[in-house]
Parts: sequence; C-alpha cells; structure tokens
Amino acid sequence: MKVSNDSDVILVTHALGSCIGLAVYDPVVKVGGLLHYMLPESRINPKKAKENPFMFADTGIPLLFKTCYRYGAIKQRMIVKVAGGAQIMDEKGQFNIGQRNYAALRKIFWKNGVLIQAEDVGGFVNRTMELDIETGEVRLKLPGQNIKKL
Amino acid sequence: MKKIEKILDNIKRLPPFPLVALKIMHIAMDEEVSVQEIVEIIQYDPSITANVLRWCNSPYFGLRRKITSMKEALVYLGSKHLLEIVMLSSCAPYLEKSVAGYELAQGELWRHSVACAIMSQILAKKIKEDDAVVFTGGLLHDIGKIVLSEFVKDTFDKIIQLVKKGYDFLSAEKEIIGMDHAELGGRIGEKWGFPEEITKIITYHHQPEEINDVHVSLVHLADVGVLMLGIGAGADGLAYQGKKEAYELLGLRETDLMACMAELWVNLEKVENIVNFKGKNHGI
Repeated sequence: MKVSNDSDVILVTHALGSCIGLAVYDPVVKVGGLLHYMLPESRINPKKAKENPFMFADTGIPLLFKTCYRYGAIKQRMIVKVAGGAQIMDEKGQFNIGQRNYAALRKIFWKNGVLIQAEDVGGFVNRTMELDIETGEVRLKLPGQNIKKL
Repeated sequence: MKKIEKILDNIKRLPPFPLVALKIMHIAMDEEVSVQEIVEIIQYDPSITANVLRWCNSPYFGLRRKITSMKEALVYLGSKHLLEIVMLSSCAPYLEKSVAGYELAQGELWRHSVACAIMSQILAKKIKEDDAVVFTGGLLHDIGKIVLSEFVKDTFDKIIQLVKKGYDFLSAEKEIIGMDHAELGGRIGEKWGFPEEITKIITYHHQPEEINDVHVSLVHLADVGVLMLGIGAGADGLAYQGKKEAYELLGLRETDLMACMAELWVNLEKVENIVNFKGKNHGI
C-alpha cells in the first residue's frame, strides 16, 4: 500500500493477476492511495496477516482508508476505482481467488456505504495500474494494449 | 519448412545443457545424495564452482560469514541448498532472456520460474514431500517458451482469437502452431538428457490429470498460484486451466493454495534477491 499527497508522485502497482488494485483519491486535498492485495480474508494465514496486513482485503482495505484520512482525505469525497481480479480458467470452480478477492471488496464496501466509480475486473489478463496524485487519474496497462484511463 | 519441422530444427540447434549441472540433476533424484558427492562432481568445473561461491554469498542464502572455499560452502550450505545453487546458476542463462512472443521483458520469465520453484517447495512442505525434484521442475517448467516464443510471436493474433473464443492458451498454441510450450519443453528436456522426473513435470505441468504424479501436481498448483499473483504472466496472462485433479491427488484445497500464496508473498524479497543476483559468468 502507498498513500501520498505529493502531486509529483505517480503511484504504480505492477502485474495484478488475481489480486485487486484499489485506488482511492480525494480531489479536494489531492490525497490518493493505492492498495494491491492478493487474498480475500486474513484468516487464511493469520500469522502472515500480522506481518503484512496489506495482503488481505479485510485487513488492507480499512488501513488504506484510514491512512488517507490521516492525510486529510474525507470519505464522502473519495473517488474509488478497482482493477484486477483476473481468473485462471476453471470449469469446476476451484481456482476462484480472483472472484473471491472482488467479492470480499464488494462486501466491505456495501457494509460501509462506499461506491465504486469505475472498475476493470475479471478476464484472464494481467493488469498494471497507476494513480496520478496531481490529477487523480487512474491508468491501466494491459499486455499488447495501449495505456487506458479508468 | 513446416512449423513443426522448424521447431524441431530449433531444438536440435540448442547448445547442450551444462554437463556438470546435468550430472547434478541426475544424482539429485537420489534422496541419499551427500554433499561430498556433489562437490566431487562440481570441483572439476571452475565456472560452476565460482558460481556456487558467488551464490553462497548472495542475500538469498544469507550466510552470516563470507564463504571463500568450496569446503566452507559445503559445511554451511548442506546438500539441499548446494543443489539449488547449482540449478539456479545453470538455468539462469536460458531463462533470463526476454521472451518476446509472450511479451515477457528480460528477467520476467526468470522471475516467474524462480517464484514457481520456491512456491513448489512451499507446497511440497505442506504435504511433507521431498522437494529436490520439484524445485528443479518448478524452475524449468516453462523452458519450452524460449523456443516457442518466436512462433507465438508470428501467430499471436490467431492464437488470441482462439483464446477469445474460449480456448486456453495451451490448446490455442497447439491448434495454431502444432505444438504447445509444455510439450516442446519436454522435447528440450529429452534432448538435454534431463531425468525423466523433470521432463515429466515440464511436459504435463498444465495437464496433471493425464499423469497422476505428485511432483507434476505440485508444480501445476505452484504455477497456477504464481500466475494468479501476476508474477511473470505475459501476453498469455492467466489463460490456462486450473485442474482440480491436482488438488485431489495431493489432498489439498483452494484454502491451502491461498495459504501457500501468502507464504510466497512474504518470501518475494528472497525471490527478488535471486532474480536480481548477477553472477558474472554463468558457466556456459
């Protein structure tokens, strides 16, 4: 996870795979944060969750918002964008980590009244995501494609 | 020349795999292998010896003191790590290159391979399996991509059209080129004289259900886990099948895979240490 209020900074997270990239931005104070989490729930590996809470949706997402608040961001103003959650092909439904990651996020957002403004999730593609702190623009890079705005 | 003939011709023209590394790979299949035996083989190859010393002093193996002789290396490392070092230093030159057909920049396939080797070990530990074979198999599973890359590059649009229709990338390679990277990797393993256990892993790493082999299933799950973490997933991305038969054979479930992925994630720094570690010459 990275949070910044420095307008020269572009936060980047590479190669999301089934992981979720979550970008939040308050345009008034120009504070933004980018979280790259890989698994839905910290109870999968509580020991590792203690060492690195940003690995899991349920421990990482609250920390992202709280850190942004500390920089002066306000929840009601925050723009939320989501990317990643790609899937391995699987007819039997036993490699669902991408879907589970996304479902965990939806559940947390629903409980807390957070709306997603834009998203690019699922499929089989490996995405790279960046957040421009100056403008709040979120950009995605997919293999073989031009950079696109989210 | 037909595509298949051209591919087979490319395999023929590959330089041989380093002989000493090959010998080590074979004796590593024996669980009782001693450090002394390994040292006896590698001492006659100055470049591998030099590499072993360099790798011993790399951050990954994190020994507290500087190792200056093979004798010390053998005392401090033990046979397991010594084997890993020989494999890493012999495979690096093949896997470090960029693989344009899959849009993997230089070092990306190497990162994927190292992560898969370590992930295979983590999964092997979970089922209390010996891991000398899976480390090497995990490291080499995608070796076919180095040869298939140029053919994938030439036919990429056709392959991706099939993927859009619901094909997985492996079947699309087979359909368009006539051979997929797993089968081709197995052929390379045969040409290089790899132990059967290793070529088996390479050939079947996307189709563990066809062979019912513990090592193959471990590397399959490791590969899938590493792809889901986005590590070295190129233009083919995650467009491969996950096979439940691998779980069943190993007695594992998705939650176990997730726990192992978490374990790998906290070890990624070690992976990066290996990936970025540059020996001056690689012994070939």
